[in-house]
Amino acid sequence: MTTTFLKRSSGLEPGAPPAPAAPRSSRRRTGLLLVAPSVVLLLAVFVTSLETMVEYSFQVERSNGANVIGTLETWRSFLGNGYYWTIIRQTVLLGLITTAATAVVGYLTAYALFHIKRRGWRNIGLGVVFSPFIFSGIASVYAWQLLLSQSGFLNSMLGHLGIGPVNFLYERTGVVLALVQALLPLMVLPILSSLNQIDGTLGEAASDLGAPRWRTFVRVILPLSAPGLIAGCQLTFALTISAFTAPSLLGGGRVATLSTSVYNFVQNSEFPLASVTGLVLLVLALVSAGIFLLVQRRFAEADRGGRTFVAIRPRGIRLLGGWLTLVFLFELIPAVIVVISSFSSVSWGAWPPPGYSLHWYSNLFHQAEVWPSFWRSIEVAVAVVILAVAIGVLASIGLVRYRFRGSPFLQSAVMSPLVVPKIAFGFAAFMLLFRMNIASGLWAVTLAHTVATVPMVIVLTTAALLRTDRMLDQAAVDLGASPVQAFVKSTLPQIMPTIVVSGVLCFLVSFNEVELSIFMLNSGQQTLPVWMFNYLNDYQDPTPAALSTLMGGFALVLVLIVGLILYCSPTARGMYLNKNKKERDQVAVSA
Amino acid sequence: MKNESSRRSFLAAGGAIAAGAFLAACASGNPGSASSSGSGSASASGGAKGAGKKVSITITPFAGANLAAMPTAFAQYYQEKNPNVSITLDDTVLFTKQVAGYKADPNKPLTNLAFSNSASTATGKALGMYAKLDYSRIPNTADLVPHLVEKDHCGVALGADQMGIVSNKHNYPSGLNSWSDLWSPQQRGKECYFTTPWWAIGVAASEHGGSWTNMDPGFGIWQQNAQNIRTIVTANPQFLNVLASGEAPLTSHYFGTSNAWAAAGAPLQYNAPQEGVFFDSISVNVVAASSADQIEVMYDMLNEMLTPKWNSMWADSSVEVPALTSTTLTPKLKALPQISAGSNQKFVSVDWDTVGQNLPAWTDRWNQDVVSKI
Repeated sequence: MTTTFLKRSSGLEPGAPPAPAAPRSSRRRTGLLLVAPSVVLLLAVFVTSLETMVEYSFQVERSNGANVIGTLETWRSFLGNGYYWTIIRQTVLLGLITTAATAVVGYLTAYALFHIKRRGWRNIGLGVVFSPFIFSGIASVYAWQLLLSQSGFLNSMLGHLGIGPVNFLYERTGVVLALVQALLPLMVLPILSSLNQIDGTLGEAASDLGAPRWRTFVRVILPLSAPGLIAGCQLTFALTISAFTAPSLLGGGRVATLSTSVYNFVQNSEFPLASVTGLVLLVLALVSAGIFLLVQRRFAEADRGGRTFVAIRPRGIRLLGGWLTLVFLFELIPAVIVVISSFSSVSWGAWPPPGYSLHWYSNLFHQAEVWPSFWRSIEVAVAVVILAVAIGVLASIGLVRYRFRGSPFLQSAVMSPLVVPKIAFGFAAFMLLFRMNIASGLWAVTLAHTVATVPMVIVLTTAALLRTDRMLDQAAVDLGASPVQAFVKSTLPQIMPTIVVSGVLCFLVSFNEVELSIFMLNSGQQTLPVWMFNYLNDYQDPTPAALSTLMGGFALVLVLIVGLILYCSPTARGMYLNKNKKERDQVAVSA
Repeated sequence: MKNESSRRSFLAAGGAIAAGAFLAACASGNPGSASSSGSGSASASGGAKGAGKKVSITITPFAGANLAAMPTAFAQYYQEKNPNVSITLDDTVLFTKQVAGYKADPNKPLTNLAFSNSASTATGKALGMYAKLDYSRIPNTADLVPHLVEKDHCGVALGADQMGIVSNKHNYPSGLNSWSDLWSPQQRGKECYFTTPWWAIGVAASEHGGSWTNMDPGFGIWQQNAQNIRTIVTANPQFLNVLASGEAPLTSHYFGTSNAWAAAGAPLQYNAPQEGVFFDSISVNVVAASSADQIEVMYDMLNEMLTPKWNSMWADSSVEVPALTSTTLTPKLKALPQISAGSNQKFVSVDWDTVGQNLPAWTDRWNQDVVSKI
C-alpha cells in the first residue's frame, strides 16, 4: 500500500516518535513566534479592554451618581445574591442542553453528509447546513418568533391535528431550538473534517475481522472522529453561554443568562455589575475551554503525527436520507419565513401575512444609508478575513506542531474572546478607546471583529492540523526541503479547505456582527447590520427582512463562488476529501 | 473616575505599543482634534474662540417615526442663519452611550444637545451630565406650559407624550380603563413589557400605602401577579408583534407610539386610565461639559426652538402636546383627544428626582423580584 511505502521510505513506523527535531528551546521559540501575533492582538485589544472591565468591577455607583473606587462591594453583591447564582446555573444548563442536542443532531448530520456519494449533492447539503450563517442572526430570531408563537406556523400545524396551542415561544425550548439551528454548522464542520481524515482501511480491517457495522462505528469511527466532535462541542458550548440574541428575544425573560444580564446592566448604565457579570462569564468559559482541551488531548495524534491514508469510501446514506431531509427543513425554515415576511403587506409580524407587497423593498431602496453601510461592511469583513485567517492559522501551527510549556494556557487565552458577551467586549473596547483619547470607528471594529473571529479559525485549523500527517513534512525535510517548504508543500494543501472555510466563516460572522460594533460606530460610520439594528429599533416594519433576503442572496452567491473554487481546487479534491475510485488511485500513485 | 490607575495605564500603554503605528495613525481621529467630526465634534470646538472659528454642536435627536424631522430642519435653518455654527446630527449617541462616555470621561461629552424623555432627563440630571439652565437667557421659556417646566430648569421641554394602557382590540374590544387591571388576576399570561414599567409599579405602590420613596408595596403587588406577564420584550418590533398578534395583548406604553402602530394598521388601542395618565415631557438637554462657546450657542438655539413655528413642527411630527401655550395645533393633532386636551387631563403626579436616582435600582429589583417569577 502507498501508506506502507511512505512510512518505509521515511524510516518511520506508525506510532513511532517524531523524527529528531530541533532542540527544545528552538522549538519553543518557533512556537512562541507563531503564536505571538494572536497574543499581541489579544493583549492590544482584548486584554486592555478586559482590564477596563476589571477596573469597573471594583467600583460601585451610588444613586446620586457618585462612584466609589477600589471596593469589592459589587463583587460581594453579585456573589452573595442567590438570584445571580440561579442565572449562572441557568447559563450552564442552557449551554449543556444546547451542546448535547447540537452534538447529536450535528454528528448524525455530518455522518450522513459524509456518506453522500455524489459530491454535488454533498456540497448542496453543506450549503443548506450553513444557511444560518447566510441570514442575519436577528432576522432568524425574528423568524423563530413567527414559527413558534401561539398563532405561528408550528402551532397552526398542530392545530390541524387538534393539538395546542402549545407555548414554545418565551420558554427554554424555543431558545434551544434556535441555538441548535444557528450553531449546527459549527458542529458539523469539525466533525466532517475529522471523518474526512479517518483512514478507510481501519474500517475495512474491522469488517474483515468480523466486526458488525455498528461495532466498527462505535470502536473505530466514533473515537477517531472524536477530535472534531469535541471541537464542535467546545465552540457550541462557548457560543451558547455567551449568546445574547436568542435568549433575549426568544426567552421572554424566562431564560435569564449571564449574557442577557450583561446587556441589561449595560442598558441600565450599571457598568460595575455588567463588568462583574462579564468577568464571571469569562471565568466560566475559560474553565470549560480547559476541560475541553483536556478531553481533546486524549484523542489527539499530534505528538505521534497523523497518518497518510486512503479515506473512507462513502457508502450512500439510505435511512439517513430521511434524517437529512428533516435537518434541511429545520435549517431552512427560518430563512424561508424571513423571505416570505419581506413581502408582507403589513408592518407587523403577522403569520401568514394577510397580503403581499413589494413595499418594504421599495422602502429599503429609499434608505440613503443602505449602500454606504453595505460597502463599509464589506471593507470590514474583508480586512477581518485577511487578519483573522493569517493570525489564526499561524497560532494553530504553533499550538499543534510546536507544543511548549504553557501552550495549553495560551490556547485557552486566545479562545477567550469567543465567550465574552460581545456587548460587554464592545462596551469595554469603547470605554478603553474613549479614555485613551482615540477615536473609535471602522478600524476599531475591524480589530474587535478580528479578535472575535481568530478563535474560530484556531479551533477549526487545530482540528484539521491534529490529524495531518507530519511524516510527510519530515520526509520532505529528509529529502532536502526547508521546514517552510515542507509545510507549504505538504501540510498547507491538507488544511487548505479548512482555511478557506474558516475565511468564509470569518467573513459571514463579521458581516453580520451587531453587538460588538454598536458602541464603536457613530452616525455615518454604521455597518449594514448596525444600520439594520438601529432601523429595527426606530421603525417597526419588515424592511430589515427585505434587507436580510437580499443579504442572504449575496451571501449565497459568495458561498457558491467559494464552493466552486473548492470544487476546482486540486488540493480540495485530493486525499482529504472523499474520492471516487479513480481519484483514490491517483492519490495512491502520486503518493 | 478621573483617576487613572497605574495598572490600567501600564496595560493601555502596552496595548498601544503592541498595536504600533496602526493605532497611532488611527489616533489622528482623536476627538480632541479640531478637525474631527461625529462624536469628536462635541468637544472639538472647545477652544473655538475668536473670529473665523466655527462652533461645532452635536445634536442627538430621537430616531424613528418622524422624530428626526424637526431637529434636521432646525439644524439646516440655524446653520444658514448662523454661518459660524456647524451642527452635526448623530442619533447613535443614545442615552446609554452618553452615560458610558460620561463615566469614562465626564469632561469629554459625546454630544452637546440631547433629546430626552423625563426619565433620562432625571437620570442625566442626577448624574450631573445634563446642565441646569438659566431660563433668563432663554426668554421664550416664559411661554412654556407651567406643567412642563422642569423644576430645576434642567433642559427645556418641547412637548409631552403620555403613557396609559395599550391593548389589542380583538382581545379587549372596549379596552381597559384602570391601572389596577394590570395587576388583576384576570390578566394571567396576557401582558408584555419592554422597559421596566416603573410608573405602573409606582401607581400600585401609591394605591397600597406606598409612595415614590416607598415602592415596596408596589413591588409586592407586581411580584404576586408576576404571572400576568406573558413575556418581556427587548426590541420594538417584538413589542409590536406580540401585541398585534395577541400573544401578549396588553401593556402600558406611550400614546404616540401606539397611535403610530394603530395608524399603520395594527389592531391596537390606547386608553387613558381613570386614575390619570403619566405625562412624559420630552426635553432638549444641554450636556454640562460642553464648552462656554457651545453653551452660549445652545442657549440661542433653545430659544429659537421655543418659537411657535418650530414647536408646532415638533408637536406635529412627534404627535405630542406642544410645550408652548402659544403653539397652534395642526388639524391632525386637533383630531386626537389625548393631544387636543393638552394639560387639561388627569395625570399621575411623579417625583422625577426620585425616579432619576432610583431607576437603576428599581430595574434590578424588577428583574429579580418580578421577571424571575413570570
